[in-house]
Amino acid sequence: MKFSYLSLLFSLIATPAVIAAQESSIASHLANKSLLLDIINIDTDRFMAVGERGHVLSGSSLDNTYQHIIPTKSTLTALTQLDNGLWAVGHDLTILHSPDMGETWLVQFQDISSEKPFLDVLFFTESHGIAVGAYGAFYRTRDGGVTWQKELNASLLHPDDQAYLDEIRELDGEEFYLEELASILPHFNRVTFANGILYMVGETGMIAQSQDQGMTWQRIEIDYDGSFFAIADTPKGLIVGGLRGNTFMQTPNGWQTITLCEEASVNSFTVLDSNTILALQNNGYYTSIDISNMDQDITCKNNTVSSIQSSEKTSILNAIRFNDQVISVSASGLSSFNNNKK
Amino acid sequence: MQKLTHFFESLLFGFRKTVIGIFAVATVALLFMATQLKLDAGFEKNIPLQHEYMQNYLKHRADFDGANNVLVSVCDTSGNIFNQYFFDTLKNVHDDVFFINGVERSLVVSLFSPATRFTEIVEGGFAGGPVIPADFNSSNPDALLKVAQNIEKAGIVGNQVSSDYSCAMVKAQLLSTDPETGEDLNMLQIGNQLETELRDKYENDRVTLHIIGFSKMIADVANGAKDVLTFFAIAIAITTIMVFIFSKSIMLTVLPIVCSLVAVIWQLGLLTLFGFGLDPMSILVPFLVFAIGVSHGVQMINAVGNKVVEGLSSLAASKLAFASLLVPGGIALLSDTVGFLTLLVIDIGIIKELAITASMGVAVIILTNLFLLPVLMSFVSFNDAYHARAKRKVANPTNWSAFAKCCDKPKAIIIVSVTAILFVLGAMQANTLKIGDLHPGAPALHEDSRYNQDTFLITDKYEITVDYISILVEAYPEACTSFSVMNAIDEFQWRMTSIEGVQSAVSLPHIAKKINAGYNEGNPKWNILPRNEAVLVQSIARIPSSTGLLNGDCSVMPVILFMTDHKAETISRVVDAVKEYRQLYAAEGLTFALASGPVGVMAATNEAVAASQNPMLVYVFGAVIILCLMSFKSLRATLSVVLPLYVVSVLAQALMTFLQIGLTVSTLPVIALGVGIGVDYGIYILSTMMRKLDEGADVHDAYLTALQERGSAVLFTGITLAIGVSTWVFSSLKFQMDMGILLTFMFIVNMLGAVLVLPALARLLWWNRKGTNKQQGDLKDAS
Repeated sequence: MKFSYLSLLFSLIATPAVIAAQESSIASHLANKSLLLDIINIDTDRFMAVGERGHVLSGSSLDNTYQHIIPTKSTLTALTQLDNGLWAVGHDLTILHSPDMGETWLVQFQDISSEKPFLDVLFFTESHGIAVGAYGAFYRTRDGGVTWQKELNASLLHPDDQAYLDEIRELDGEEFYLEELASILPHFNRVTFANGILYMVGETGMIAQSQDQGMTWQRIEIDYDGSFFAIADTPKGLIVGGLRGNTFMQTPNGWQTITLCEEASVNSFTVLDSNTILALQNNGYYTSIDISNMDQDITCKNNTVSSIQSSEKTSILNAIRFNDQVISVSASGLSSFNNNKK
Repeated sequence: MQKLTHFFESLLFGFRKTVIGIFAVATVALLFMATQLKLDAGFEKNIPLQHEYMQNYLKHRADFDGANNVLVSVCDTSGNIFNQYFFDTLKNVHDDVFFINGVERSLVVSLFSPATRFTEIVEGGFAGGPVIPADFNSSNPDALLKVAQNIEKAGIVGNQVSSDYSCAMVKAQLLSTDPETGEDLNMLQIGNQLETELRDKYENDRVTLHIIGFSKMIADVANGAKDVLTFFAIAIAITTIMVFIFSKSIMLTVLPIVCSLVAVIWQLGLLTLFGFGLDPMSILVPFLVFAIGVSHGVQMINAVGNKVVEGLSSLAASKLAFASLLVPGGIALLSDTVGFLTLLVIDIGIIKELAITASMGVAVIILTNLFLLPVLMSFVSFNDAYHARAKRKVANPTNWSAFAKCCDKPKAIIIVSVTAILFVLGAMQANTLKIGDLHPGAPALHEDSRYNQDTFLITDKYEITVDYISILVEAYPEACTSFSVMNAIDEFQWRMTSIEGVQSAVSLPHIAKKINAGYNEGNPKWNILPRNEAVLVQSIARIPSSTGLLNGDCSVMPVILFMTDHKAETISRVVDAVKEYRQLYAAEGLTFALASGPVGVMAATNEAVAASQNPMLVYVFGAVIILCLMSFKSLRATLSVVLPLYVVSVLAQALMTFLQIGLTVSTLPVIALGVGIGVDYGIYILSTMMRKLDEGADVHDAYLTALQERGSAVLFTGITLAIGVSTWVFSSLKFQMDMGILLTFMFIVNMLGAVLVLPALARLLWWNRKGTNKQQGDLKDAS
């Protein structure tokens, strides 16, 4: 365990996970039609999805899903996998772990009194991972999740806010500084790890990168101050998306605006192939973005962007490539369409 | 008994003209009353008000009167509502519905109601406004485009606007009392108003109107019920022809028909006199009264005619017929009356009304057809032609010996065995009898009726259903700010959603979760109930009580379950699940009470009907058994009458399962009516048989005599009644058709039971009866 003295990083040994007397999730044949918030491939022929009421589903096709009963009813917002280990996070700062591909589940961490959710989770190695969430929630484990430490990182703030905090630290002392820092941090909506760099997007136009797995951060400036929910690394560079369909791609000349067809928030991106990105939006929009030629405008007007709407018209949270299909999770559960048609 | 008969005989025939005068005056007076009779339909009459569910419904009705509403779907025939003509029409329909007297004006919802708003999430928070802006100008295409966008943002597609944008809805709820007069709201008037002041006014080749709701349904039933006059006329015509063929005399035809009509007039007049109206659902009762009247009248003219042919004068023949028929006829009609009165035990207003209407009608037949008719007959002079026709008949008597063979021992054993087998098979089938309505739409109406077609159109074009049940979650004031209460409701709703037959559900926490996501930039990851009380309050502060999801202080929050259908098994499955799951979530100050909503009413009605079925049969048969025991003073005689009746009522239930007729408020009384009327045949036949048996005859001879005396009248009556009610099959009302089929079956089969099974049973019960003289007979039955 190494701590960089120079970093504005503070670790607090988290209170051991207090597991309230919560019952396990409710088995229901409608779990695959309920609000599902994340989906991943866990095997070449198996996917897993998590969602409201502690729903965890795995399956080999839409018609063949299995609900895992887990020891919490908290709504789960994100899921990640490293080898045989699975971690799901969610509301009440819940961190759930399965060491055996979903056979058994245990709550590694939960803080119901926090009244806030984790929104994403990521593991660098079997032992080293982070969980991020609302109101600047940032927790790290270096022992595979046995213990989780809370971190507050002022470098994630807007430069103006950083200056304000530095002032407070001098005038009012360390304790008040920490309190203020915790309250001023934005929601961390999504993390992604690409080419050794950790990226994180969040509220108030926050895009940040870290060379050291999140110990220190540098903000990436962008001319938009609404929330970002999605970030992905594409063959042509980073793509970020957020509130009301605002989408941007990082190019050598700076951020290039991508004009989607619909003003619905982008929840996730899925890279379908080297030239095609799928944006998953609220109100049931699957939006295909053609990035083969970044010299032109990428916009709905010239058909480099095109949308179709699902019949349910419910918000789509994420999607995966699965065999020839795209399987997505939405407010009305699992659905799929044939990738070739897109 | 004899003394009483004598007393009446001397009273009636001593003052014949006075008697006729009194009847004439009474008839004129009651005819006047009858013309004042009003059709009267009330929503509450159709529901079991004392049932636990309905008590809960009534308790919360001021806040959640969701069961009696009106939906008007205005559809554009071009398939697209976004044109000036449509929006102008919709506005007019909205305004007209708003001004219908009896509509709860604060709850009229359509695109044009100010409460129909949209909200959208923008970077700074929420933005929103009314879907149709204040400066809306329907002639401006841009304004229509704006409304189209607002509709999408408001999320009311499938609810207020049909999923294919071809229709838009105006919803209204009805009060239970007329705000102007304070009396019960006149549902028929509102239903007719919807037809004349909305549909007739606005429907044309560009726009169609589809109207559903209890008031419209019952008005349509009432209009369909008016056909009953046609059926009445047809039945009178058929019956008259039949009676003429039977009696071969114009006077003998006219008199029983007139007396039966007098009975109907009296019945309708008495109803008005006692302050009742006639419900469309019981409009068939006068018809039944007429039919029963004719059946007893025919016995009377048959008896008189027979005596006249034997050479007696009209007066002597009438006196004799009166004396011989007063007891069996009186007993038969009394058992009809008592049988119908037993329906009073069923705690549904409309069945109680039916009980009163029907028993009153049958009771007056005692006066008109057992008293008035013989007195009138005594004035008839039979001409030679009649005597000649009658003599020919006597010379060639109907050959009853074939029927009488039922009393041969081997044949009797076969008949009784076959009956027993039929009974067992019937009972097995009857076990599968379904409670409640088995078909979609309004069960009183045919599937192809305008009302049901409108129902299907609305459920097809919109994502709404008229089949929903509300679970009334009762807590304490401000309970909606408690996470644990809201979470319990939310989990309860989720569990109920998984029950087969529940299509979707909505409740306050369900909406609060969506609003919480809305406050978090519309991010579905925040679609949760906030544990923080202040945040939870924020999520529910914008939900008005007019949504029907909470009352003023949010101490009551219904969970509304939308169902796939309203079949009885679906309803009971859902109700059972509610009872099971509410145990998991009920706590101190938190109860999950059944039920409101149309399906809640059906659930209560089904339970009340199911619970009434057996008691009703017990009471009906109890009454019949007691009256038979009293009149025949013989257990064996009673068994001979009652057993075939019981078999037939079981077979009628079996028939209902084959015809997919469920046991409902309208079909439940049919069995009681059928038993009440069916018992007449047995009593007439057996009263002669008992006289003969008492004289020492064997069963065969006793039965043969009974057939000669009464057989033709019994056969005739059964066929005539059956032909009369079978015309109901052509009724525009489904329930009338069902009743028609069932009553036809019961009349015919009860008659067959009386002429085939009754004598066979009697033969077995009087097993050792051989001789023809008194000494060998067993006179003293256990009774």
